[in-house]
Amino acid sequence: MNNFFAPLNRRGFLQTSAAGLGSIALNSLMASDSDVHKIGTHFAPKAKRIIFLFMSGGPSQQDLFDYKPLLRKNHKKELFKRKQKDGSWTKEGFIKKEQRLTGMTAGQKGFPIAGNKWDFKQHGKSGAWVSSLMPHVAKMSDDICFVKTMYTEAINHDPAMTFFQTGGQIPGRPSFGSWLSYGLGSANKNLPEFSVLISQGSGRKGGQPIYTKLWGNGFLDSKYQGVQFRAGKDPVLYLSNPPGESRTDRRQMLDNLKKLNGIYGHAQQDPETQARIEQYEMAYRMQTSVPEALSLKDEPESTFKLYGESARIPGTFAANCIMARRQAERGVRFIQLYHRGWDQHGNIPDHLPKQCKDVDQGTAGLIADLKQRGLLKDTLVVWGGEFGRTSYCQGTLTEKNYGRDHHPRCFTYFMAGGGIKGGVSHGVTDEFGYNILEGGVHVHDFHATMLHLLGIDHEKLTYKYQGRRFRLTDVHGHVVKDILA
Amino acid sequence: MKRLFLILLCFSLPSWSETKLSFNKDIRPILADRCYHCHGPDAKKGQKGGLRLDDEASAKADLYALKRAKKGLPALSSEEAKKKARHAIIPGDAKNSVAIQRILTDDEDDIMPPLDSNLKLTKEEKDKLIRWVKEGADFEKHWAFVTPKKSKVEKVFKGWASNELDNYVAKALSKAGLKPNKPAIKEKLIRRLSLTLRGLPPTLNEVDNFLNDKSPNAYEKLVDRFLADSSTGERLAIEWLDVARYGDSAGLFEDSFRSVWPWRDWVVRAFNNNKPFDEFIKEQVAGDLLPNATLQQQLATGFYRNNPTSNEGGIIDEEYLHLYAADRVKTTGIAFLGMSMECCQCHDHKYDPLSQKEFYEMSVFFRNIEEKGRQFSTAAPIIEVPSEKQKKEKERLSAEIAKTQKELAKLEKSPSAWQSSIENLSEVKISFSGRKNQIYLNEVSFPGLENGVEPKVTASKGAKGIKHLTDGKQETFFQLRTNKAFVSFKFEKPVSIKSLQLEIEKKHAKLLKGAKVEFKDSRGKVISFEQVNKPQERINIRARIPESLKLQSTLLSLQSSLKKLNDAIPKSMVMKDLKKPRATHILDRGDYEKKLEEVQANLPSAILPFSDRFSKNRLGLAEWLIDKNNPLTARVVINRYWQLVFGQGIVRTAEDFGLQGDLPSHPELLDWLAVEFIESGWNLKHMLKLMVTSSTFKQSSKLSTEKIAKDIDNTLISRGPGMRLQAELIRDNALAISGLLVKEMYGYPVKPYQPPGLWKEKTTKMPFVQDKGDKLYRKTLYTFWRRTSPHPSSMIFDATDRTTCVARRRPTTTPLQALVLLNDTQYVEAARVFAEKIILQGGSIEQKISKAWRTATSRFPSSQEVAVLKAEYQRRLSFYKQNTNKAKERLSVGEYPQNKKVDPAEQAAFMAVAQIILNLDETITLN
Repeated sequence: MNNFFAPLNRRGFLQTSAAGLGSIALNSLMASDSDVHKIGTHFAPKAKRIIFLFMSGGPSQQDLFDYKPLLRKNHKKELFKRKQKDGSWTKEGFIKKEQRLTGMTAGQKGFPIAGNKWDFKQHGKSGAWVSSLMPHVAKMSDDICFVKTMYTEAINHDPAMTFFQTGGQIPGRPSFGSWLSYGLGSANKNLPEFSVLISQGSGRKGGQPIYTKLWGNGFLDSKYQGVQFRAGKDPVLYLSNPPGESRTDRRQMLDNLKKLNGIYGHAQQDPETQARIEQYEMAYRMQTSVPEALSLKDEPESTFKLYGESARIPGTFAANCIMARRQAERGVRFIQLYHRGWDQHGNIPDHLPKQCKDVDQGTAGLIADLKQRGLLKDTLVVWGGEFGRTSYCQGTLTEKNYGRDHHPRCFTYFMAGGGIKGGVSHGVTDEFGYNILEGGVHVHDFHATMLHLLGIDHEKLTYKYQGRRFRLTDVHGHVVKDILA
Repeated sequence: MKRLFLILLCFSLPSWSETKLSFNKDIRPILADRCYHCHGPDAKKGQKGGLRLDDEASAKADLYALKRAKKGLPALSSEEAKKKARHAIIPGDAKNSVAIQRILTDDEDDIMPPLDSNLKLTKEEKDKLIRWVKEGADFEKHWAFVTPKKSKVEKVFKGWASNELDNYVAKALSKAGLKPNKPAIKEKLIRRLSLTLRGLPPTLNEVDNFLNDKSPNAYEKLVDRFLADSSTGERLAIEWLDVARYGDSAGLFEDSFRSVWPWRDWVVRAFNNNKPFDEFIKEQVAGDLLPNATLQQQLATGFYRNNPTSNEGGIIDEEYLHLYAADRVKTTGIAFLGMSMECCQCHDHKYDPLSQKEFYEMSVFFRNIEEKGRQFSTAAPIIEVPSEKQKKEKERLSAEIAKTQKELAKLEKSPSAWQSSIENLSEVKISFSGRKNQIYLNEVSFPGLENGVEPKVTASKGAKGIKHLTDGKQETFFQLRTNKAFVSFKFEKPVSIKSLQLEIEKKHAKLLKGAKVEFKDSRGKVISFEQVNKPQERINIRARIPESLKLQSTLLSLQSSLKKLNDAIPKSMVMKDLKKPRATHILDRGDYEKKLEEVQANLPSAILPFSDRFSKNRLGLAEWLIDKNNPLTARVVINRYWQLVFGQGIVRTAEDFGLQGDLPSHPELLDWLAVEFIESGWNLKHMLKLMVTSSTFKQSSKLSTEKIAKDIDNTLISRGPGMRLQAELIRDNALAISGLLVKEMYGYPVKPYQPPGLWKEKTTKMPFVQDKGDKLYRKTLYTFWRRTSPHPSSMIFDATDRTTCVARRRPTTTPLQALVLLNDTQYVEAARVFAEKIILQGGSIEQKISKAWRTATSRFPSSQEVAVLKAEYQRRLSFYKQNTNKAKERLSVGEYPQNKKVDPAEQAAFMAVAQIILNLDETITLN
């Protein structure tokens, strides 16, 4: 939950609405409270909100954005040089095999290079290389910053996703959006600060799972959880009245409840009762503000032209992109989309185009739409997954088919708006897209940079738990200054 | 170049109050929070400039001399040394104490804490430090590492105290100039007591009996009765499951079902039997290592198998074995020691005297388990936990099987047990057992079959590669990929064969295990059948004589019953040590690939030396935890029960008793409780009884202007406990009030209502299938806890997701909670059924309202309160009388059958009253 719903606890309540209550005692109470933190920004923010389009599973960077002509040229050739008994490296191969591989391909006999199936072309004034699978995104190239050198340590989905969303590989830490709700407080009176939307991929059906912990509050208060918005009857869980209960009925019931709680609250003198009465009122308001924010009824035809036909179907990625824009307009601070199905261990030729078709036009449409509405300048749009994929083939490389395993050592993210330079490419990977040559951006750096754009010094946003000041970026992270506008 | 700086110290501080500052209370919290990060116990990075402010000797030492000695320079002459000496702290001399100089300077290079640390000292804190140095800079051992002792307490508020606890509370209250609240009224008292101990509201009968019982020990009798109620074990279990991070799923990646619920039932039973808490700990930590460990003792170790595990395809075993052991170390730290061990995974603790080495030494106890890194579902080591009935049935079946096998073996030895040929044969069918990905048969032949006769081959869907007969042999190579694979050979006209021969490649032979071969005549009647129990490359199957066939049939049916029984016997994950321990190393920054020195089992010496009297395995760990000289365990445990009863611990940071944790609000009380706990034989119910029979507990929960000003958080316990019910109790309460609650205990977790699609959108594995009937109304303790998508309404009420050990929940108030209580099927249905039950009891509308109100809050409503609800009722009633369909629509929620005898309009109208009552602040809070 988010703290726009404040007041949320006795302390918060007193802070905001009970200034008259013996202020000396109150001050000492605040000072002794280990949870007190400075709410607000540390410097002027460039971005007011973030839309994070998370591609769950790990898209294949060398088939989409990180163009490596040598892959096709050396198709089927062995990628790795191997260490021999005398310590020298084999002549065969291009990359020294020194790193750990996942349990899925570690036992593979050979690691043949798989050339990218789709052609790359340069686009826009910036001449960004984008594959033919992403024609709409390609058109937006001059607004986009491609980071070719994102990297992580995690090599499996669960830890890698958890890392990107919470700054730690094992569960228990607050998610990025929760940190923001906690650090920046309330910006919105009718909607949550932190929303979550999920769509299913049409590439690899089923695919690897996602988890509520990815938008969980960790050790922060549960009010900082992300609120999931869903297609269907209840866009937020339990939002609609039960059958037969009209809005007038509900209003009268709440009025009577309020009366009774008022009598009780007066007798008990407990400020929490008052806080709870207010939450019932907020719940009542949400019943109209949430559906309004999510309805596509008033969207003109041009919207669907921009985001694509699939945007008409609730629950698709493109429809969620429109939701994201509507929420951005209404001041939601952190809008987290998940699109599943990017885990192409095999069947890239069949699955990858489907995945791209799911997201290409919606993503490009979102950026263009924000731009035309003047929102892109303070909205940061981010696109990427938990890791990339290997340049070698997983499984048998055939004429028609190839797959790629997880690759944490370099992969592509792209960003637009919100204080990010458009039309640039950041970082360089080697000719086989295996290792970073320069400009590496670690997960922690990525988090530090996003926080920076929001006006937060990542070293100062801390929360004391179990005796330690925790940070989203742990004890690491550097702002990537090169990509800032 | 370093600038010289002059500081004008202003020591004209306000006059000290009469008592000296306490290091533990006033000074260490400041030093720990602002200084220990760089000048604390961390040997690598935490002793900058050679200075430790957690160590008295270092803090008062001549740092210059130390530095020279470290560089190997000769000692200076005493006069020279005196001149050069630099002491961080000089007792009594704040002006020359470098530490004080450094915190007061405005030189940006010198100021402490350094600017880039983002840490600051306030004016008050600086003043305190100066005063402390002037007062002699006394150090004290951290309070939590000092073995607790009972101390005498003076008595104030004559006649108020009911037992010893109250004297400590009274002392603190009087010091703050506060008086305790008056006792709560009897109705509120019984409700508070019932919710605290049983997690349920009292029934109206119980309330009336208590009101009518005028005997002086009426309350005590009630306490005894509630403590003996089996609901109390369930209520206490809820608390322990948070600490134990219990879930019904693996927790990571696909997060499939895992069976540890028999352990959960063990916990409930342990609480209900009031198992001494030291045994409770010992059995969970090392039950399997106890001499002649019983099944129940082994089961108890499931505690340490509750860590999240992963079945992800690409994971590396070594990494995850490390993670699992690390989780157990952290859990041990928080659950029993109130120490956060997490930091030490990467480096020495910055604040507490715990080293990185000690972390890995403790992990030795937990690495030595017969487990794998990649764990599927209910993963080994596991034990079977049969009920008494199942146990007996298993013995009976096993005996019968042995008997039948013996008879059959005897019969099979004689050549006449087999028919020389199989006549009138129309079909041979081979059915494979279990789910098979692939099945390969190389050759199927029918010795004795007339030349040229060819059977027609059919197979289960998806079979590939079937080839046809060549020269009298059925050469078959096929693949099946299905659940119930079979292959059938049908003859157009009945034939005669001698036997059936199967050939299979050696590596595939095991696929045949359990396969069933049937010989059928033209009417489909089974002539003979066989089950392949010992698969080989070549198998020859003949037909049995009737007597043998009968025995065979009996045997198979017994075996199938045994299999069914075995499948039905609950399994539970447990701890079991490897015969050959795994080596454990310190890992550089916690990275499993970077092994440093190897370590052996050991425990943090700052808490209690792990001397030779403890065995160097989990049993030794358990003994060490419950040792009477361990200063932490009893305090940490009893503090959590205090938290359960009073809403917050005496140490508010129930998870952290370390240097960064909160100080106890009533240190002497905590110590008294800890010692009493141990002296009582770790008797938890005795301790709970002390708490709930105290005058402190019995106070009314009302606030006043004075108490808002002086004790808003109730730290001093100047009023009785008042708090929103926790997630599980919110739901159980609504079920109990409405009469829906099914009190059945124990067993497989249940899946009550939740909004559709929540599991499916996250993973296709393990779809959510909502339960029916009674299972919708069990206590929330038994709700299936899937950790990557936990029961949503519980999460909205601040339940933890149970992936890590959590010692306290953090209650919040949000609009989503209002939405749950107003719109969730579970609660709307509860209002409907509540209305029905009240209506069926008859009476005037005022009487009905009063009864419903009392059922929820235990007290009579005022006439004003009745009037508000009556207005709601009457407005609705007249509407629903006109609009029966609307009434029926209102009553359509939930699966509990609708009582046709009740008038829909009346019920729908009263349902609104019931809903308001279920949403009352007074209903959802303990007060």
